[in-house]
Amino acid sequence: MRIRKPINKKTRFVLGFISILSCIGFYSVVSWRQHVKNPLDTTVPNFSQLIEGISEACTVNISSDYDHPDRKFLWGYKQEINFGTNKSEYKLVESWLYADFKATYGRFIKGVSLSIFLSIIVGMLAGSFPKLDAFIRPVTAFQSFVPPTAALAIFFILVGTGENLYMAIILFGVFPSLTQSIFYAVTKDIEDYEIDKFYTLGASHFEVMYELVFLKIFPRILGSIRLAIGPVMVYLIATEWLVADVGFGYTLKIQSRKLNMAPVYFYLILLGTSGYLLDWSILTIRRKFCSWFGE
Amino acid sequence: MTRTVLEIKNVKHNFGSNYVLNDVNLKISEGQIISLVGPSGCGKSTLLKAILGTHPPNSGQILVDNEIHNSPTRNVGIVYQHYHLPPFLTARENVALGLKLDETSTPYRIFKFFEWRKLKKQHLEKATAFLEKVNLSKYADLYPHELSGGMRQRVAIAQAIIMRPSVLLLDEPFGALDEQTRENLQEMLLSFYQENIEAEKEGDVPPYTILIVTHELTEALIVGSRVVGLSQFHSDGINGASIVFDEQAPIFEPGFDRNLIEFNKQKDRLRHSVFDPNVNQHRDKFISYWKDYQHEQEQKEILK
Repeated sequence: MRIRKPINKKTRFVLGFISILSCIGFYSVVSWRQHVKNPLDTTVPNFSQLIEGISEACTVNISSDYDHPDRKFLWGYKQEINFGTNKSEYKLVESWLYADFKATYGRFIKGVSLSIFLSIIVGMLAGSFPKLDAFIRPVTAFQSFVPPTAALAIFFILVGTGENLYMAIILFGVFPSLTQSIFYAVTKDIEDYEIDKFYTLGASHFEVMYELVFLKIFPRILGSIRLAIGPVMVYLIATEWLVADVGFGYTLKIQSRKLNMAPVYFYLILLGTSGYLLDWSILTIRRKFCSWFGE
Repeated sequence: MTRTVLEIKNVKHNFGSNYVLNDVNLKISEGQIISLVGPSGCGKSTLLKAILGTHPPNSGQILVDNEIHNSPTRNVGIVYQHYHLPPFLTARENVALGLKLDETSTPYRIFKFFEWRKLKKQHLEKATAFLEKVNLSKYADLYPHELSGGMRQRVAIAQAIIMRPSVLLLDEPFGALDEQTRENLQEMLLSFYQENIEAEKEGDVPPYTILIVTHELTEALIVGSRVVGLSQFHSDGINGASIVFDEQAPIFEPGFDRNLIEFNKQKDRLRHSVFDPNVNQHRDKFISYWKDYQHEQEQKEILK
């Protein structure tokens, strides 16, 4: 036994597997104890309740008779509405999961794309032009210490409670830290010598910025994006919890209030898994396109 | 006389009241391989940066191809001690990088994509030829982190010479390398000198004009066709460093025996005039390159 003694892949896999099994085991014991006390408990659902919850989130009631629901596994379907008229009208009934997934990840993609785009431009320019850095840094440094959820009321006034609110919250929350990390990547990873050398090879200012600065710090940008995913989800879910009428945050709030925790656990697993997959995808992109960067 | 490619005229450089360079004058003709030596902190790097154009002098002029040079351009190449190769490009792509940046623009590469692809292929072929010149063709597809220090420096040199700059600056290029690798690279520089001589014999323009900054006297004398010493140790040294030594070097063509007697004499002279802090002579005392050159030319005329 020594500090940082390397382990092989098999040991790593087995330990990871044991860790997940331990979590499931711990949950099972807690759920079992809760159900011994109260067999109708929904706060720590047992596995059959969990499956029911998942089915509730993934299915759509295609019956118009609400007393006798007919739930099917569908993303959504067009339900005909006739209020005693000859005219047929339809409304789109979507499963919670589909509607929430679409709403939350739509907001996530819009907010994150805008934040990444602006952060890359501002961070690279600030790292390359000290005057711009002097102008921008005091504001971003201050902004990075203000939790965006604390400034929600200001956002309500500035952008309202529509879809733009989510983009604004993500931008406000992620832009300062992402810009700062890109700025530091530029200043630390790009030496003056390299810039001078690029000029001696006939590069224009734009080529220095793209062919050297951007391409060299690209793996670091990906690393910063990976770190930003967690905070983005926090801001997004918190905002949805407060103002949305669809989305993961909204459903989590409603179902928690009803103490219907099965869909809540299901959503938490989904959020964790999707975050993990996103992180893994970014890491894979980095490994594929920036093999020179190493692990 | 061959064409002057670099002329340093009355260059002075100061940081506040502290003068680093004092009235530096130097003229370099095409085809020369010049070793610039000097004690630590004498201003070699400042002079190099001034020639490169990143830190223009406070007074005086630096002319490259008879034009004032005050910003880095493709006419003055640079190879640093620590290579500074873009890590995301293979050795071949690194060597072809200058051709891409110099001969094409970003809009060209986007809007004339297929023409650019053809041109890129030509660039890569040319880069392969230059890698062969520096004995690295086997490693063309490796990234810099997969190469040894000596190999990286060869790539850096190939990357610079493919541009055919008017002057190539080598800033302590072999400082971070082991003795054997250093000797191999010195041989490579001598082969460049050989190419210059052959080009001159055939009446062509010699392809390489190189200014190599080093603190190794032996290296300076081995690779340079001319040795220049920059030092603050002279009668006017209080006002900064100046050129205090400028002589032909006993350069050796690759494979030829070395005249060690002449070599050691010159080394002693260089050590005395450039590195000895007790020397208080006039800075022109050991400057004889152009006089010797003139004399040599006259002798040649007489022999004709």
